[in-house]
Amino acid sequence: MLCNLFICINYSEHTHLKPSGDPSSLWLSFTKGNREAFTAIYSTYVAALYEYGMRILKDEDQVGDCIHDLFIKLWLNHKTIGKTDNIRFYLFAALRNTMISYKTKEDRLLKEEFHHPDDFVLDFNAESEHVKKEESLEQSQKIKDALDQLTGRQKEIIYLKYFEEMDYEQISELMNISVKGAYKLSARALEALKILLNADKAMVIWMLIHYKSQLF
Amino acid sequence: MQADKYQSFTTEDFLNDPEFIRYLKHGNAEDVRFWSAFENSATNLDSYYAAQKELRFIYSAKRILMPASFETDLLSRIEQSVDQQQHQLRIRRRLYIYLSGAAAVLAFVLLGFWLSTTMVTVQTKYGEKKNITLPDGSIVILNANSSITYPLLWRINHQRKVVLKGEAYFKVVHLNMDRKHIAEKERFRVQTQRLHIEVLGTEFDVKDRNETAKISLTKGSVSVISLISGKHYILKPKQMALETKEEALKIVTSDPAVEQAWVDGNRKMQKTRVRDILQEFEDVYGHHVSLSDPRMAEVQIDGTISFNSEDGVLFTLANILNANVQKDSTSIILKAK
Repeated sequence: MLCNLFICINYSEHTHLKPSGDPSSLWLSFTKGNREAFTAIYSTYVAALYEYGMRILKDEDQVGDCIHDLFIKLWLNHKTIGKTDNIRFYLFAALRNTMISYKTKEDRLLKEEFHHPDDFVLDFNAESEHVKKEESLEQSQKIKDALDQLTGRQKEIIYLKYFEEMDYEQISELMNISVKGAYKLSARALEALKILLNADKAMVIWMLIHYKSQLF
Repeated sequence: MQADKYQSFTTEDFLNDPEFIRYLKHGNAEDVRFWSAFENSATNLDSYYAAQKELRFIYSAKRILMPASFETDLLSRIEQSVDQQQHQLRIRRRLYIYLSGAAAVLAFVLLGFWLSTTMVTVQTKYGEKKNITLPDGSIVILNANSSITYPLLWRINHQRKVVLKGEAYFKVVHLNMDRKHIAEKERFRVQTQRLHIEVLGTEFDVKDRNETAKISLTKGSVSVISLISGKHYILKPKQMALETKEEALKIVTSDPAVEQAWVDGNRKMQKTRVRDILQEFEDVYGHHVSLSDPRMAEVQIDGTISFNSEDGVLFTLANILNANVQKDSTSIILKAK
């Protein structure tokens, strides 16, 4: 009985067309209509798409709708989609477009409004080496607020560059700015970050003094 | 990785360097080895440490993690939508197949209908005689300047019907199995302008030209109706039904040899007037012959004239009438000597 079960399991593994691991052949399989490849692409990239989508839309249901629409559109057009050497970037760009259509339809937002969302979510950990663990939650929050003074665009470029490891060409396309503009934005973001980092220590001390007197 | 170039790097350079970023993000053993070595060997590490501090701070940012339920629930939604799509596609494809099948069937049916109305026409020119075998094996010998028309799908329609213009001799194949019961489809019909003829299996000559319509029976039995006078008869061999402008269809005795002589290329005369011979000449060869003396037209002739060539006929007539043949591009005249 167990023997039969074992054989059964082995057999079922081979009846499915298992798509091979590397991205380019996975994509090729998908364009040929392979459902398993399609699902594998979803499984590989959904987490990254979720995070990026949430940082922009902040609403899990909306993000779900957008990723759903994106993958359905992918499936409908699988025959005519060309090759791509970077699936991750392709999906990010496609998700962004889907989100734009979604928001302009749902909230009647103008395209321009959505293109430059100033509320990209990127919360830095207030528990930096300069903040002692004894600080109350309220104070940590205040410090956090002080630290989060980068603009939405600056936060987005930091996220794409350092968390998604995209290059400037990709970032410029995704954020709808010129490559030169991307370099500038990145420089400004890092400057702002540096200032905040160095001001951090001084600010903590200042805040401690300020709030301590208020509370006690 | 070259350690040398990093010696002169600014903080910003480090923050734009993919290898540096990779080291701080992933912490691979290989990268750790390299950068530890760099730290030990390099002299000025201020910008290096500043960059490290910034990058470490950046990577301290809170991640937004996807709940497992989100992944699975969304996948089900997507799979459902895709299945729906595939289903609709299948339905559409099936519909297309059915429709194109129906269209093909319709095309065939229409083709069939069209074909069933298509007629075959065989035409003889002036001076031409033709032998035609009909689909049922019946033979039609078509005289000059005549035509027969019959349905293309004769065999499928089971209708043996021929429309005749001019003169033809018919040798109809007998289809009837049971002498007592004669079925519709076994009858052979000939339609001319003035006569409607029905036979079973027989040989007869039909002529419907100018002012005379006649059918003379050699063998078998035919029924003939005049479409002009409405009179009808059933003929026995050696009988002829004849209708002219003056007289309605009536039966006369005939000599089949006389009526059929044209099949062998001759014309048999029995007190036949020259006028009638010249009419036959015109019917067969398409040329009008004038007479210098109108009285020549009333001359009666007995005997057989060969009708195999135009000039032959003219020559023979000229001899009989003691005249000369005067031919030019527009007319033929028999001139009395």
